[in-house]
Amino acid sequence: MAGGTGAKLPRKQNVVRYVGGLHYDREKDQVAGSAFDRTTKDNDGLSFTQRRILDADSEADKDSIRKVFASRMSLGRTACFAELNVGKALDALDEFEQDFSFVENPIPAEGDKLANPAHVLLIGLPFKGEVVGTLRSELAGDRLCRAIIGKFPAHKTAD
Amino acid sequence: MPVKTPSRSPEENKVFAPKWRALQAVVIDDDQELADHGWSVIHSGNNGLLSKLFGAQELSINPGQPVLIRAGNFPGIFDDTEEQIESVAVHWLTAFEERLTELTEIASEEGVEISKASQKDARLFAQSLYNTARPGIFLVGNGNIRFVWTSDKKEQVGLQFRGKGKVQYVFFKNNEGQIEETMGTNKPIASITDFIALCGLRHVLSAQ
Repeated sequence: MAGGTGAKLPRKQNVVRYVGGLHYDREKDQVAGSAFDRTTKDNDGLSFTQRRILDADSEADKDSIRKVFASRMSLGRTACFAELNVGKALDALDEFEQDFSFVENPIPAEGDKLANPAHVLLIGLPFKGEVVGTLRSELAGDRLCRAIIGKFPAHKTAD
Repeated sequence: MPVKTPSRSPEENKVFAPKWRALQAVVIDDDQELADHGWSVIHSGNNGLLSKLFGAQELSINPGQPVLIRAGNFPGIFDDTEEQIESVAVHWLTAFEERLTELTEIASEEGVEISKASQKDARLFAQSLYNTARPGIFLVGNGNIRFVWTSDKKEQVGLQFRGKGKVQYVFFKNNEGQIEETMGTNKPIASITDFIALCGLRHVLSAQ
């Protein structure tokens, strides 16, 4: 899936992470720390997508992100995208004794799957050698939740 | 020290049965187990009394007296009417079951297996709560249910039900702008509500 890793993202950049309905409680409009825990797709790092790379306009960018994801996976009807600022997210993880960084990781097109030149990885998560749901993973996720600056539905019709 | 519970209509039992089961479980257990729940037994002739010290005030009831007791109870329950308890509990439990249905559907789609032990503990805990707002309800990738209450001061009470009566907890407390974190694993569910209060986070459970 990954197309190689590149430069570190600047602190001012914003990124979004897809959050499925298991980790997003729509009635409470609340994301859980488990949204930032390991999934089968998060091997080398935690998957995020940069904002305003696919389109400079914020709303058009949201649509572009939805299209890219929809071409690669089935979007959950109650899922959302959670937006974080890179600098604030790194600050939230500061107390863990290891390095974290967001690095460029563009994904090329593949058949019907659209390219995602805005794709990035958060290197350092998931914690190596840890299973899902450990205390450390949960704490890291909960700290990242505190850094969430916005959310938008994975399906536009839910707006 | 067996206790005769007051008779109730079938409809009342439907609402209150879990709480009365908790009462019976507490009362018939031995003194040490009662102490684990924060209760002590005072034997007085043929009438055993259950008592618990709430601050400076000692409250006592006679076994069989129509008062609701929950295993993980909060101070003040004796001051409230059953109607208030019913309205809060029913609202909360209905929302819990609805969310659980949703989680089950999504988990099936995503190939995640829900832990039955975790689900059972989460349900019993939800039934034991009183005067709390609905938390965020989630399914961790390991199949465990997790409740997360948050406040507008970025405080948090997070409980992952690990099964076998144990929870993993992550608490955030805002102490004059500084977030203090308290966390751990394998905390007995029976003692977690007292621990939340001890950490000064009881109000977070009531935050909407």
